[in-house]
Amino acid sequence: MKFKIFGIMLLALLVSTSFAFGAVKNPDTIVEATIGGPETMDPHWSYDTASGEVIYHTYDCLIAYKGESLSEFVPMLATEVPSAKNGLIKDNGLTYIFPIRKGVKFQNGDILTPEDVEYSFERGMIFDRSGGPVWMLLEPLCGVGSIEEVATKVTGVENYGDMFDGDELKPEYKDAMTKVYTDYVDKTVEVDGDKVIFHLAQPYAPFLNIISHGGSWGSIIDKKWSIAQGAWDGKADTWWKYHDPKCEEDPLYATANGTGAFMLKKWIPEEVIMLERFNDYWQGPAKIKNVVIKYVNEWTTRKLMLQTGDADIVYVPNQYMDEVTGMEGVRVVEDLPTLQNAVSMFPWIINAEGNPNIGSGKLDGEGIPSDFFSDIHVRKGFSYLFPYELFIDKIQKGRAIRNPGPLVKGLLGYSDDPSLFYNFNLSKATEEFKKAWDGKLWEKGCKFNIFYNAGNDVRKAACDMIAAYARLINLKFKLTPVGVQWSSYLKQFLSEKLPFYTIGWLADYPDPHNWIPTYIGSSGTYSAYFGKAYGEFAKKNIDPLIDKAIKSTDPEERAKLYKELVKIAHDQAISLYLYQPIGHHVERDWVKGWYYNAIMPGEPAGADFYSLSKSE
Amino acid sequence: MIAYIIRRLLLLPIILIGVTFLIFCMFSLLSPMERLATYVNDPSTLKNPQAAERIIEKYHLNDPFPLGYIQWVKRIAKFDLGWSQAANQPVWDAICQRFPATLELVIYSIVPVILVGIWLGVISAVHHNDIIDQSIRVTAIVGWSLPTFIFGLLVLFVFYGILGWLPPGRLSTWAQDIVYTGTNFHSYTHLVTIDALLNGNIPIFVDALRHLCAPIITLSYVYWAFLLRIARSSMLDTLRKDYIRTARAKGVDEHTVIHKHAERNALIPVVTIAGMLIIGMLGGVVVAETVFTYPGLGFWAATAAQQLDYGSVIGFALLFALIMVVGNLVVDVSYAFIDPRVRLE
Repeated sequence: MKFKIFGIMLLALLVSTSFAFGAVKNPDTIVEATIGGPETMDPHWSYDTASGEVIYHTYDCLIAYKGESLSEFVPMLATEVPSAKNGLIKDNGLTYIFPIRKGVKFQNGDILTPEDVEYSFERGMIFDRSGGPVWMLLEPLCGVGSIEEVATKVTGVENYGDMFDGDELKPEYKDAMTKVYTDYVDKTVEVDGDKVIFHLAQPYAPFLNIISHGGSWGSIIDKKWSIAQGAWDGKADTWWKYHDPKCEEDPLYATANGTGAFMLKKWIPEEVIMLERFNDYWQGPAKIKNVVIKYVNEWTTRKLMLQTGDADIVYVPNQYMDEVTGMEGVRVVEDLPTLQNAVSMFPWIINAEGNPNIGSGKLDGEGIPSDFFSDIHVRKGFSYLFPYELFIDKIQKGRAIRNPGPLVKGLLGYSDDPSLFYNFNLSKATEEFKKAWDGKLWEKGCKFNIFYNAGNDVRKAACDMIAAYARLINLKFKLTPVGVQWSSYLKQFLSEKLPFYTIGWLADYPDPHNWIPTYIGSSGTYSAYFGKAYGEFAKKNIDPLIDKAIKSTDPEERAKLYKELVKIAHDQAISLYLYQPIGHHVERDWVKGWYYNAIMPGEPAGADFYSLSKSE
Repeated sequence: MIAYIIRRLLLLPIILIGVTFLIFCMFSLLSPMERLATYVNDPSTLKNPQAAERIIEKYHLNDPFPLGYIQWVKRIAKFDLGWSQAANQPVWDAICQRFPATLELVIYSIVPVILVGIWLGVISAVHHNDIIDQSIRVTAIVGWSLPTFIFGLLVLFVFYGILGWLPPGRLSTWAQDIVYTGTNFHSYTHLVTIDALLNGNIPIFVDALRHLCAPIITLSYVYWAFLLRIARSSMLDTLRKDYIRTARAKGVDEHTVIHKHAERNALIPVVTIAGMLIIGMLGGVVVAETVFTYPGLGFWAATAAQQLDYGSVIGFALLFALIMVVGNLVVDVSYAFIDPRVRLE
């Protein structure tokens, strides 16, 4: 009897604490359920969409994209958008002037000054972590791709690391290294009264696009607060101590203090991010009080969270779209043009040290050698092995298109030329694999792991298909798909330990120069980690064309050059260009105010939370 | 009894040495660079041979086997278990952060496992071969044979998707806001239900309990089904004993025969099994935690194993081995307490 009473009480408790279907749940909180948590909270480290989505809301830039537009801007921490017409772009595009807004508060109460803006960009340039985003500032401002390039030029040493004894700079280089800051970095950004002036090393058309990108390198940080946290002290003769730190040792790794609409309240890696409205936000407080981003890799759980209203916005992989279309109380926005793609990488040299992913490290059927993909026949074999159309039809449910190379549709130089596409052809794949490694690959077989980021079921399906077809044409081809948490995934590809991995790119700015160097340039964000052999190949065959294309002001010439580069990417089968998704956004219908900007981090799955509210 | 406990305690260090030695043997099968990879938070370090060499020296990864083992044990004693790629933090921190959640889940799962398992086992034996026995046996077989993952998804679908009663995760959004940010909430034990009671916050207690229910149902169904079968067969054996027949012949009523004479003796082997089962549950939480996105050790270990994160896997193995050894000791001692023949041997 006692048990019965207890049971009835428990049931009553559960029912009474359960929600009522239909009512707006958590009316002052937006809950987003997605996959893959952030890597960092530091804007100068961040170069992934998960980190960018949080930083976008905690920091502000000088200017921002105007709503859905990718070509119009609105002033943010600057009071005007520079243009030749208003006289804030001068010297044939070499000088940009930004009048700084007054009275803007950081979240800790500090007041924004032009010195904060100067510090933010200079700290970004000296920080310049390996594989990070700051090349986009260094290229227009210093005319180089990395601060180490400036340092080696000034000091005359061949390798940046040669100037150090352990972590300490050798005394003989101190003066020259100080000059790197005083003669280069310091001169690029200057304060003049209430204005901040940028001096470019070369005319650079996408400069405004670059600094308007929220979520990373364009963010304005609080100088006083950053120094107090242990970030660069702003001095010329210490900068190298703050250059390229380890992710978790970076003082701004897990903390934030921007001028953005939301404050970072709590971050539990790979579990949850909690943001709270900043009531003193200069544009007025957000309508929503809290934002909670939950990282839920399991699709069924995310779907039920959406269905029950526990999540307002949910990341839905294409293959599950049918499950949410028509769901009661859910709004699905489809057919959104994206500036993103997914590509499987073939690093020419794999870091074999302490690497269990390549088995024996030899071509003996139990592993692969570290230079496995340096053989063009291996790369071509895999390029013919992937069932592109079937994948788009069955997995993506038609919500994707193919790309001929690293350029996506919508950008200058994109081409539909059929000769630039590989097609699924098992005979050709077999033929190429038989030629690879003088026939030894076909005879001995291979065994290695292929990677995707955990929770990304579309990429998992791509890896499963590649593994299955590889096994189909030769039973000795043993590829094992492995899912890795997003934050760890990024580190592992930078360490060159992943033999074959699928990753994507979301445009930093809508120009082919943001895509071609990234995927195939010698110092590209991805291709720089393909190994030395690839670097040499790219320096000789690719970089000169990239340089020519960015310096050209003739769109026709640029388009021609980018087409040529795409052809090289195709002919060399540099990577496996899987698809360009057609975007969609899924939210509860009580969410109001969502808009789409193709460059905003986290979009189209995520949102600009500042614009959102919740009502029936 | 005390002598028995002392004897068992003296064996403890030897068992621990054996367990750590075995784990170290497996660890040693990795190359020095692979072992090194378990200690670095940034895999790029491995690209710099000098930096890598310094770390190999620091962690004695090239030392001869016996010396390497001693150094490794010393590091474990200092809780230096390496870096967890899956959690993006030191392995020890990852364990400390996740262990309370798993412990809480297991503690609450013990209750239904033992109560329901033993209760149904006894009923099943008493009603041997009749409809009640058959129904219970079928339920047990289903529980024992149904894949936990499928059962978990079913529970999630029914109790969350349809009824909306038992949400996934550890806390609702509003409760996370209070507990994780420490707003008017102090975490004394990191067991949310206990902390909620200590803070006098009943809504959070109820919310945490709601989140625990679904993984508890999933986890306990498998285990009580197993315990039921043990309890049933033990009870059947006991009911056939001479002293039970004598008790019945003396005219003792059936309730007393079953619950006073038979049940107590029948449950002696069940206690041993139950003890080990509870310890084993710590390892069995993987599926339940994964399905319900419950942020515990099992969820972390599963993620780590999938992405070949050796540091985390070894940390989890060490922790699990330690729990098994200590748990085994507790079970042995309690068994000796229940059955005097054990300590006399």
